[in-house]
Amino acid sequence: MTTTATRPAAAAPVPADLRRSALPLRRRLTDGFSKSLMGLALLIALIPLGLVIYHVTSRGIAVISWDFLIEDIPNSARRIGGGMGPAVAGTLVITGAAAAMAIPLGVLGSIYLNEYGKQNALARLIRTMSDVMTGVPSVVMGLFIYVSYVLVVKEQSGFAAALALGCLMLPVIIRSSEEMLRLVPDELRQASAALGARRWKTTVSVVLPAAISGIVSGVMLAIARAAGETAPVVLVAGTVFASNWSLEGANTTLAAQIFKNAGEPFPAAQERAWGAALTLMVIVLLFTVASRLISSRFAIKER
Amino acid sequence: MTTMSSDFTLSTLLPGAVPAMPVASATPVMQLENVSVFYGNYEAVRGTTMAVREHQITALIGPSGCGKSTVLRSLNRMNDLVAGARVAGKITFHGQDLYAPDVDPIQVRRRIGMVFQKPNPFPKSIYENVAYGLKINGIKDNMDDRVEQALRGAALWDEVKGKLKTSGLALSGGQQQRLCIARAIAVKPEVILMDEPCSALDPIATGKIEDLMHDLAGTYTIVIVTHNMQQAARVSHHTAFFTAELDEAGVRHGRLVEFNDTGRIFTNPADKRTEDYITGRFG
Repeated sequence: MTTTATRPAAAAPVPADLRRSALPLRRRLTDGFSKSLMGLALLIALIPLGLVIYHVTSRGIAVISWDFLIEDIPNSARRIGGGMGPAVAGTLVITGAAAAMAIPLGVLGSIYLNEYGKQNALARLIRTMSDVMTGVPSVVMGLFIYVSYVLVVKEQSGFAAALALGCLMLPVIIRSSEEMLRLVPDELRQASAALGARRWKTTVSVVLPAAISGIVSGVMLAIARAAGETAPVVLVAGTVFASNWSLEGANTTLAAQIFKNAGEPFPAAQERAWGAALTLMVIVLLFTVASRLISSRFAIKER
Repeated sequence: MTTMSSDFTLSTLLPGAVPAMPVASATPVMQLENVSVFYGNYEAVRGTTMAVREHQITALIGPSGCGKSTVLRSLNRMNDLVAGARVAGKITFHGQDLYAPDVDPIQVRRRIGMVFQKPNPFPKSIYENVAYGLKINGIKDNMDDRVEQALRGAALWDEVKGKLKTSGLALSGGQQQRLCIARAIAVKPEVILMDEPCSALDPIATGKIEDLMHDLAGTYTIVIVTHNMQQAARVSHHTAFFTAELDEAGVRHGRLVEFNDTGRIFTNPADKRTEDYITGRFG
């Protein structure tokens, strides 16, 4: 290169030592220390996760069978056998109804916030309120539904539980979906507007498809949390021992049954609790996988 | 150049005082009369008076921050999407005031299309990108033919005809920009606004887009913003030179210095500032 020839003689006469060992000891130590710290943090974070999966699977797998999934819950916790059929039914019905209420409201609400309301007074109020709602403990939400719905209609029901879970899911869905919509580049909205698309058309045909996979992730997180909620369900749904596939009348969920059975001193009940725990984990996992498959059909193939 | 530049500036501030335009060969499609654009209280561009002529290419040139893009985006009401943006003065399209209260901006944008600085194809297939504009305009028949025509019009057909189902984002930058042009011409607008369409492209891709602009000018009226003076000289029939100047209060405003035939602007500019800019003595 001619440039090196024209350089002043200040260029090092000795070629620079580029080996790692040429670095000062302090920098090498700091580097190694930070790396091992990160690895350690990862390991520590994995320990509880691994233990939970290991314990629930090893204790639950012995209990689970097809019969366990469909048979009624024994009236007496002491009795051996029986299953979690009513809890599986209740979990599916109650979580499903809660999702059916919260997802459309939450996603449409987030569309209002990000595409229409933006920074106006109403949008800012809704954002603040949903932040406050995110912080409401689930048992308080259960009490709220108990006072405002169960005491009014004078019946504990699956629908009441769905209302409570829906109220818990709503703010999570609104805020996570809004974040995802915010990530959609404004250039796409402008391109669509420049072709003469109205805002709703742009939102439906361009913005939502671009954000759908993120929105689905947020929704699944909300569903998983709702499926695991115990306190509001115990408060407002009561309990049953035979499957109730309707929203009317008392019901129960896997989470509620884990809570009840694990509190019993009898080994049979505790086994049912482990079985219910594994069932709940697998149900949430299946839903997550299914929703990923569905959303990948709408999502953008390559970036 | 001994022209009194202060007089010229004054004349551009007066409504109706359009500078002399010797080549009035084509009828004006759009007229700007004393147009100022505000963002909130800030007046980004002040007192612009010029015309856009049919089937010709009008270039807006000038240094960064002179308001040329702002003026361009006010021509199809894209500035409506910016909170606080406001247009004063009058912009007419075939004599109709674009900012009259009962004018629907959607209708405006269907007739005055736009190509952006950064290629921004939708995250959809090449076919869907072109078909999108047709669909939202309610056109459903002969979709395949219309998509092919638009892609041919944008000189992209031969490169993509075998992979219409692949994502528009998988194309190269220059191809993406031509896809955006295809998308814009698919809905057959009268005017196409181009906001620095080549600034993100290499010279070969730029050459292709410039050739394309020449071809398109037979069918469409084109307004292009560029800060590449050679590009303006190569492609345009008329050139408007903008610059940013401090007013009495020390606030920067963009303003139109000179609007004329491109030949005149580049060989015999009337204003000292134009001459300084095109000869590279600006600032």
